[in-house]
Amino acid sequence: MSNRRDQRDAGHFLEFLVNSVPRIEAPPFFAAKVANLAQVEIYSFAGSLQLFSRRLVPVFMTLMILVCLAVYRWSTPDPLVESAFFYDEEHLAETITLEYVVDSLAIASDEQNENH
Amino acid sequence: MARSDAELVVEALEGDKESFELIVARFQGLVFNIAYHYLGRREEVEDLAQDVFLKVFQTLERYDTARPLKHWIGKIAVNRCLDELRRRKIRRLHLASDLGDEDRKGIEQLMEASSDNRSLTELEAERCLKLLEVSMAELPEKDRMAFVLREVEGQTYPELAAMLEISEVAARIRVSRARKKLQKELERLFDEQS
Repeated sequence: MSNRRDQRDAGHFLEFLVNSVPRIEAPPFFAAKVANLAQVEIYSFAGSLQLFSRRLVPVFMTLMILVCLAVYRWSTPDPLVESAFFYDEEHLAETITLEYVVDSLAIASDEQNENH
Repeated sequence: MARSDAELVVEALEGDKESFELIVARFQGLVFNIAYHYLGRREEVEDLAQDVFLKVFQTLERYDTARPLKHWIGKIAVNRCLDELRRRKIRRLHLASDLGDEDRKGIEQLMEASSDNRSLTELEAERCLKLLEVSMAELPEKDRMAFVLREVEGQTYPELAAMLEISEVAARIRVSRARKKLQKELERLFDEQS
């Protein structure tokens, strides 16, 4: 019984404490002081460096991504280029010579004679 | 016409000092009282509030204007207070052993005032905060903060949840748990007084 009364009293007392705690006001010109400090922070060397670097981060990241893509593109052989080997004009010029054509014709006429 | 919080933020980001000053003026009461009621020391509140608003200014670019600015500033204030309490490592005062005769007399007067429902002097009101601070010393940091935000500052549960970065249900649990523990602590105090 007494315990229940204690609980009720404690609950009431807690509510009383919570409702009675004093509140405080910010001193006059606090907002102006803080705004000035923030402004000083922007215009100080460290502050401007920080602001500048913060703005540069997206640019720097984009640049890094582009460089990475370019490096990847140059270092990986293109499969289309690889397969295009047979259409390379230089390669054709090297292998199809006049001698090659004459030999081929000679072989062809020999084969024809043998058939007849 | 009063400018909205989001408008002030945009203007402050463009370098308008007056807009930032208005933001500070709008929320300084919240920050001062959270710090005062959580840490219990009037003399340290101004420096802490200044830190909070400078942090707000530094991180303003990251603020999502779709959300209430009050939550964002409250969250920064809460985190700063939690850091401060951790740094201080407040020593727990045992009500029985650590309170002096003066304190005991003061508590008796508060008990009488509470049953008579009479208004308090400034000194008695300060004593209420001290007694509350002593009783809260055993509470986990976030329970203590949840209790202060809800019961002393009168924030709603959604606001509390946003400031503490927990769910609304967790916020309710923390407040209820803190209230029960504080009541037990006060019951113990009643036993010691009688």
